[in-house]
Amino acid sequence: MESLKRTPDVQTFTPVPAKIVAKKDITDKETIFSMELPEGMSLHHKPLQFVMVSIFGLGEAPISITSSPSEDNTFDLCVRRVGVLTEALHAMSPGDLVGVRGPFGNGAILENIPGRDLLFVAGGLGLAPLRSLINQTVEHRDFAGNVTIFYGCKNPEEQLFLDDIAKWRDDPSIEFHQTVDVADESWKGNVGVITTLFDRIKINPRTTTPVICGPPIMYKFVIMKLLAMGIPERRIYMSLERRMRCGLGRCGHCQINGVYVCQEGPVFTYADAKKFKEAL
Amino acid sequence: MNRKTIRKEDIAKLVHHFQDKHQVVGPVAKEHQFGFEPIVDPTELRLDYTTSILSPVQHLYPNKEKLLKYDRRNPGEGEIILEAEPMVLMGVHPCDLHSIQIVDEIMMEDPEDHNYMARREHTLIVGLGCQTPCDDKILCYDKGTWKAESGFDLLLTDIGETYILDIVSAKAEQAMEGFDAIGEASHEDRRVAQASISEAEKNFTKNLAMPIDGLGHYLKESYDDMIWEAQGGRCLSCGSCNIVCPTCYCFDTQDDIELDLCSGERCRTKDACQLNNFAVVAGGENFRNRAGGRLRHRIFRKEVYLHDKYLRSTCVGCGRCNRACVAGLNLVDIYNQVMGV
Repeated sequence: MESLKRTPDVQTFTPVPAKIVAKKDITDKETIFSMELPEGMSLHHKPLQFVMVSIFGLGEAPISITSSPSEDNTFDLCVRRVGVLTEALHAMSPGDLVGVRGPFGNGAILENIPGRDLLFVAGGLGLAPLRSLINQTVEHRDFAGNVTIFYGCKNPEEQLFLDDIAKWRDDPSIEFHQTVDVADESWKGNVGVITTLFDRIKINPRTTTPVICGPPIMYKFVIMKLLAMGIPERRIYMSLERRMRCGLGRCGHCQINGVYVCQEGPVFTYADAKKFKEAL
Repeated sequence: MNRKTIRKEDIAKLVHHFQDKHQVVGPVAKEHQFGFEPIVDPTELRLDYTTSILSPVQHLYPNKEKLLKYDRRNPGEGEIILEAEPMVLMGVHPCDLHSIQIVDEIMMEDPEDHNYMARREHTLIVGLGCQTPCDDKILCYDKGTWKAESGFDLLLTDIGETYILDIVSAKAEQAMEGFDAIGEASHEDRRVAQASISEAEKNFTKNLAMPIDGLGHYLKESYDDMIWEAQGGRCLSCGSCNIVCPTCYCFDTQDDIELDLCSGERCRTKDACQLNNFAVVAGGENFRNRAGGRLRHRIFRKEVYLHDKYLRSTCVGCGRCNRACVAGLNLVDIYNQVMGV
């Protein structure tokens, strides 16, 4: 299968056409797009990597890949409607084409953490990239020890991936906990910020590797919790979000101190991330 | 290396000769300052210029350039645009020769920047040694960039009525073919050229109170100092320093569209890390929301982050940022302050 980074010529700024093959609204702002690359091409992505999505005339935006790695020519994006480009993307229909470059970033690979207990901590739209790693873990369940998922969002309407949540909840090999900041009448679960979930279960700090993805504010408090539990800094993985313009380590927009997030990130250990003063 | 001489009055002839096959870009007067512009009339060329508002790098890495041609009726597939015409950069001072070499190294790195490299490969550089400092806003003598031993295809050295013309590269030899208004450099000419460099050096003085070697160390130590807030408090976040900097290459891309609303071009425009919204991320969070932090970032990029990567400072000390700053911020003062002087 041919990689998207076909030749150096094509790789830099020229996107490859990707067809929208399915579209599913999951909230009033977020939609999952199933994409298909030209026959014979594959993204060969790792979880927590991203692609640059182009709509000519409007520009390009970095969007994380939400599907688990696959060998074929398909992949999924979960896109929140927030700006001109994402607005236009939401207005597109199956059969329409967009441009794609990538994948970019270091990504996370399951092979790095064999046999470890995994604790996934996702806040809001952070579940979209993390879902790639969670589902890869589910598909290769024997790679990991215990799997725990904490997912928090603002309110019940903002829950993403209800189908996946139902699956994870029903999976006896996964411990799934969810919270919302503000509940409504329909909500029967936990209410409070994501750190309130930590008191519900016992985590073995020696065997657990946490992977965190969420809004900037979440990291501070989650990391405080994890450190207090005795999990070493180098075991804590986090994905840092920046607004990349090129993915090539040149445009400068994603730079945190001396590091280009699109090249050396977005996945960092806390031990590394804490050295960057502008990271959190 | 082939060492010749050329009379000053024959420089216009040389420009004219190059113009046969190249666009010639060189320093021309712009009111009381100078700019690197395409030369129309060879007599416009001002090799006696001090410094230029924008550096000659702007002709290799333009402030705005086209990357792709697209048509919305054929979505997803763009066509690469490589705009590179044979060009001669005439009269490039040593600081800018260093700048070009720095940008070369950055753009050559994997993945190579094809647009830059295409231009670079089509460009012939005529260096011109400096006889006197531009003003007191420079750090070229502190940084050793007031002279350059490489980075040019031809080099002009002023020895009075004539220039010594060193023809260095094979590309330059080829471009000089058929030009006969040059003479052989005599033994005496060579001696005078050597002496003129030593003579020129006497005109330069260091502007930093301490040797520049320690700067990276002092900067790292100063990361949390008050100096950034104090100096940054004066910064108007206009980005002028970035725009005039010969080694600033951060960019943004934008899609320009024709009146038919179908065809257009994806362009890259130089962006500025001093602008308030440069580091804004989704959700509106800004990781460098204070001018002090942005000023520190600009300086750290040149002297620490990229220095660590390329093993040299990526600031050549040309002083353009200092001259362009509307708030009067000056690297000379900032560096002296950082080094505790």
